[in-house]
Amino acid sequence: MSSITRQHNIQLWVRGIFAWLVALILFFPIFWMVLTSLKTEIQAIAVPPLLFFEPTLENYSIVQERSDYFKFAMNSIITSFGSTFLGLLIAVPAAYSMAFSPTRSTRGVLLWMLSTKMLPAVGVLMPIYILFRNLGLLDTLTGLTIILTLINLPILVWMLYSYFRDIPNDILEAARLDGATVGDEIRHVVLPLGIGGIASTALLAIVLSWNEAFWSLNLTSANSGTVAAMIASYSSPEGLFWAKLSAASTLACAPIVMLGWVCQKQLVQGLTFGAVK
Amino acid sequence: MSYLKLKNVKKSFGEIEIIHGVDLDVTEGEFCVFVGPSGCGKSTLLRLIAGLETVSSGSVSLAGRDITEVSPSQRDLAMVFQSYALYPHKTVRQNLGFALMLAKTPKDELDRQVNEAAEKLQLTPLLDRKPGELSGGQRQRVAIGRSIVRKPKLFLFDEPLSNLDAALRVQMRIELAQMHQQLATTMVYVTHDQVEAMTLANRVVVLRDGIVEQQGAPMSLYLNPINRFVAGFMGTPKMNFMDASVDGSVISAEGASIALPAGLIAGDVQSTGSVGFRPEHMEICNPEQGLWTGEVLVLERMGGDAYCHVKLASGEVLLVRTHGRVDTRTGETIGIRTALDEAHVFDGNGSTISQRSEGLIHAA
Repeated sequence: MSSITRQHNIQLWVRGIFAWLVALILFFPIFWMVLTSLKTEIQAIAVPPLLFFEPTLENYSIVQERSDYFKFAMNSIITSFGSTFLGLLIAVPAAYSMAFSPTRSTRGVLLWMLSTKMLPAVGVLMPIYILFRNLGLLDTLTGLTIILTLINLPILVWMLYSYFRDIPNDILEAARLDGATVGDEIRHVVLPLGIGGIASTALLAIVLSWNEAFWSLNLTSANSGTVAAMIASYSSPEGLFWAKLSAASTLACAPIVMLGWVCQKQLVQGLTFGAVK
Repeated sequence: MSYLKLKNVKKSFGEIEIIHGVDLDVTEGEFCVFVGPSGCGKSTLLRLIAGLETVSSGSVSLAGRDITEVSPSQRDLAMVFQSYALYPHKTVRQNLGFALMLAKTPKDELDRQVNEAAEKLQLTPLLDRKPGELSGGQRQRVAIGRSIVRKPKLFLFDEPLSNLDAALRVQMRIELAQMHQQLATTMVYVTHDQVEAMTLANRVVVLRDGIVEQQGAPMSLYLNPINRFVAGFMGTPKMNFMDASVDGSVISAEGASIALPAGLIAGDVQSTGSVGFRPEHMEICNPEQGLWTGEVLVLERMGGDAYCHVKLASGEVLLVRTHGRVDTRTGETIGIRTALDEAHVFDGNGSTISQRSEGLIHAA
């Protein structure tokens, strides 16, 4: 074996070990959360922490009993899927026009849209709260869906814009010369070619909506609370119940982690888009 | 009767005018080639005809119908792109049939026409493949096939051969010429390669900086270019230019006084300008027999021919086409002489003042 190959192999090993280390550090809190959810409350606060114990599913049944997990989960599903669908409905045409008929101000509009994401959400909490109160949208699924749509819209447009930009303009022009109307063009060319990008964008929007906590906590309560609101209800007022909090958190994370896992390939492709071609 | 007519077409992007008023008449069945250096506006002009860009002023009409304001999808013309622009998610069959599908052609008629075009271009075995699985030449064929399936009023080609390797380019060039003979449809073709322009065109339009410098039959442009730009652009290798003073039919250039054949320059012109000789009209000889003498800088042997770069005493370098088996060596001093009736004489502004017959010669 030549020294170059040997050196190369050592490099691969070092990189591999490093990657595993980082992965373990990132994974540890999740592992600990799941582990804690299987303990009794006494075991959960034991010092030193217990690694080996007899697991129990008691916390899960208590969580379901006390706060009706399925209702919160359903609210999460409705709002995250609903807001994603609404968002795409607006973002696809917006990204299409910006990607394929750019004007001098396209760049500016894109940056301006993104700049709204830089504003701290709490800065507009008061006006939004009052608006929602006056419109009767507080603690409604409709209200939450609308706000989630709006906060994710800039990201949706940005992502779709960069995907669509990757579709060569020549192909659209060829379609136009083949006699395609704008509708034909979107249906037969843009959608089939952009479907991968649209799927990754949708997935990201669902994940972001699912995990969104600020607005769900502030604009909802018993009726339209999401899983984020449910977890929050397990913290302070009644004292800390680590095991139950962990069970609630595990339940809240589980669906989205599963979805992410199933769509791993799409998601990775979506997030590294533009960086690696 | 003109088929495609451009009337004082101008195009500006923002403040900058790219096309400065182009007039063009293409007759039906003609193969018209736009040629010019990059940035001359030839592709923009083609896109204006296609409707992919809107004209800023002027008008475009096709087969007697004003299409200036008509959308590209309604113009009934087909375009072959430099990048081929095939639909990557569709099979070759679907690519070929896309326009017919959009036009709601009945299925069996669509299949028949697609198969016919595929047959013509030897694409039949590839019909179920996707563009990603094809070689460059095959993709090019599909792109051409996609345009002929529709039987359009006009074919547009935007540098269709520039992505192919040299051998394939020559082959496709011949196929395009044959295709034009068979279909007898009007074609407008953009290229920066003057060889393609010479070989394919019935009419060559030479563009520079958004202006038509000259248009006409290829041989007419070769024999009687109207200015130094066209003279330098048409023909490979490029024409040699030398500063010259003209006194009637006698010119002096680089220390040589040359009496041109009568009639080459009309009238009695006194001017300071330049003279051009094509490399194929010059030859190398003994120093004492030459009009000029110089030192051989480089000898490029092409096989049948050799290109001899000769540096004159003034520093001017002339290119002479000579026989491939010539025994000249680098550094040697040689003479150059030229066919005097092949001189191109230009005045101080670069406009041509010489004129020759464009009659063709019967092959012996």
